[in-house]
Amino acid sequence: MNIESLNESAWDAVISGTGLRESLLAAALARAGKKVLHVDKNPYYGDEYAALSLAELEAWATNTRSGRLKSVEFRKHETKTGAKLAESRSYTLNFAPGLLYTTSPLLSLLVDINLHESLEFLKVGGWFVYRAEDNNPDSFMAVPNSREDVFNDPTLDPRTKRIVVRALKSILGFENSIMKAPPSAETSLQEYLEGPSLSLPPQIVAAFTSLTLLHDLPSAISFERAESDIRKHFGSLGRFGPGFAAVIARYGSGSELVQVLCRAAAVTGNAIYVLDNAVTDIQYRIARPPEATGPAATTTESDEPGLQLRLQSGDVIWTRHFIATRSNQPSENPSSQDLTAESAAGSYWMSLYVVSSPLKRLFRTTDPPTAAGAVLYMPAGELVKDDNRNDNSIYIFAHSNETGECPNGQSLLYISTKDNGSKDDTFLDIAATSLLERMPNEDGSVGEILASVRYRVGLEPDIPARDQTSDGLHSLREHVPVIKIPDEVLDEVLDLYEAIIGSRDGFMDKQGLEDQAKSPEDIETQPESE
Amino acid sequence: MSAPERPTVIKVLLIGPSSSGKTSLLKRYVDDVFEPDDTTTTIGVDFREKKLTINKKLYRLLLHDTAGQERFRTLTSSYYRNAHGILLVYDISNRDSFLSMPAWFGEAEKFAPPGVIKILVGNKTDRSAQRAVKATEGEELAKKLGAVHFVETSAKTRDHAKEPFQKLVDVILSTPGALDPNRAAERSNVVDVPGQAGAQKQGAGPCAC
Repeated sequence: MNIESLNESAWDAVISGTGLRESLLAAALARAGKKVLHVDKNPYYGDEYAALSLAELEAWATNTRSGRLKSVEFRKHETKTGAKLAESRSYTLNFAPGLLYTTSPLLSLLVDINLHESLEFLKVGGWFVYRAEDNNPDSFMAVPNSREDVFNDPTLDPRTKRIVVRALKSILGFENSIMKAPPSAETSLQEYLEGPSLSLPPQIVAAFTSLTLLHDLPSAISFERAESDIRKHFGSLGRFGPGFAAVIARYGSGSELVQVLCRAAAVTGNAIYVLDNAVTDIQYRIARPPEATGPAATTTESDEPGLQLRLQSGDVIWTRHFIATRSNQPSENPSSQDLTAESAAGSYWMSLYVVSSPLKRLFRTTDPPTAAGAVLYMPAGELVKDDNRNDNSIYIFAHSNETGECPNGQSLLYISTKDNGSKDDTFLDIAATSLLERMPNEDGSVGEILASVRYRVGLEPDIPARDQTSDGLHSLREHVPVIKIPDEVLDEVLDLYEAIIGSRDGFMDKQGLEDQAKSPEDIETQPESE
Repeated sequence: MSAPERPTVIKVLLIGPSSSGKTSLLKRYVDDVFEPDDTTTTIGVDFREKKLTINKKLYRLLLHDTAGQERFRTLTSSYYRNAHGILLVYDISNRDSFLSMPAWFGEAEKFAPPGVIKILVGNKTDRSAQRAVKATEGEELAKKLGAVHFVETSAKTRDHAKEPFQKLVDVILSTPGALDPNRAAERSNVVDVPGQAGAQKQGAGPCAC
């Protein structure tokens, strides 16, 4: 495919990487009337939120050279039942499963700017805790969503029911703390729930922990942190319908969101999109070349130096601002090198399994519509392989074929856990097969793993924000969206927007566009006479 | 007051190389205007809408333009979602634009729903002196790549300019399954995310306890 040359050589902002934050920023800047060049080194949109077909994912696993991702492995599994993968294109496989709470400020923003109509949101229904050795033959305990759920739970005794409801009320702020003294900053979620005043059983601790979507052990999650996550969950319940707190967008959630945002940026006429093209060199404090075409220099900005960037395609361009995560900056940039080192901040195992079962029970809900997503929390110690047990908690975020991401009769399992240096991925497979074996189909058949990909992703240590912006370069921290699309995404974009525009006012409204020359649509033109 | 009839939505896309006149064709059809100096893409508008009444039934035709994302071949796969019809537009005075059409058909094949109705359009017949593609070539390509119709147009002179849109709607309405009843069923699983006027402004969330 011929790539024509960019006919503008000066930009207000060049953004490298089409992740969620970058795409949100591109749309906001373009709507504010800024000229934006948005590039991605990959031939596809999305970066850490990208979605690939089966064949593309396999090629990615073979070719990826990212310093951040380790132990990348793609496998097609032998099956006993003859269950088969469908054609490559019938899969939309995501790097991030993209859970959005219904109270997410990002979702409110999408509604405000009317982009939610370009997306189809589906319910994340079931929320389960896995209990392998429960006396109850059922290994899947539904996490109570309401007081009624708690009282109807046959596995709890009356005292526990009362305490659970009181603990919940206290966490949600409906009732004064049931503790004599409020929990101190060091109190963990486990200490709070198991302590003398509540002494709740392990399955209740697990249920509360599952609502945090945190991979740490309940003894390592601060009560304060857990409290805000649990409030978020319950505050989101019922907002768009009974019995669910979160949604995913059909066809890949985050990846679909990114594409809708990039189109919204392009639609303004101010943002140009180029894929498969990276920024390969940065020169700092360069005066705007007098011959440069592009956005007119305003009086206040005209004398300020900017950045000169070289693209992989050979184009050399000038920009006032350059925004990218460090993995999307030129590798010569010294700050990006430490990413290749083993991350001191730890890492996550992320994986995706294509399985030959619709897992109907997982997506069943009391109220219609049927859920397309479900969360299953597997506490530490619940899975067994030989004589070993899983040291860390594991989350399975399942997507049904309703998402349009896999064919009928199959499901996708996004399985994640923390890696504390053991580099052991044994329990990812065990988690998938345990779910499949203990949740047979109505006809008794058991699903199998058809294909899987897994990798470790290093977390970046915290860097003070002020060190990240200099001379028009805005470095974004690497973003690891393990299960949910975090609310912090929007805060980060607002900060960047303010750094570039000078104010948060008018974020995402079309004021900047209306200030520009009137768009042709606004001009009343008499139809020519025949 | 009885609820008004809900119009059936028909989603139509325009695709094809830059400067083939997609936006001009769209404006000629929707507004019956032609702006010779306006070479930019549709600014600030995600799609144009045209209401049609056919056999006493109301339709909302949603016409999506490429927003410039065709220039570097970076249309998103989400652009193609739920499309019922596609107009593939090239410029008859630009041979390269015609030669790029198989790649555009390929992209439509890859991302659009199966069974989407395609029409091939050779635009800019007003530039007959610079013609670089014969009408018969367009016709043959349309047949080869499975377009249901081929037409040469000029958004400038109005020559057949409305035909591709009208023909596309005709074929969509007369082809069993082209409006895909399954899509309506799928929609039933979609969560209604209320807009600003809706439940969003309701007070505090429900009490969970």
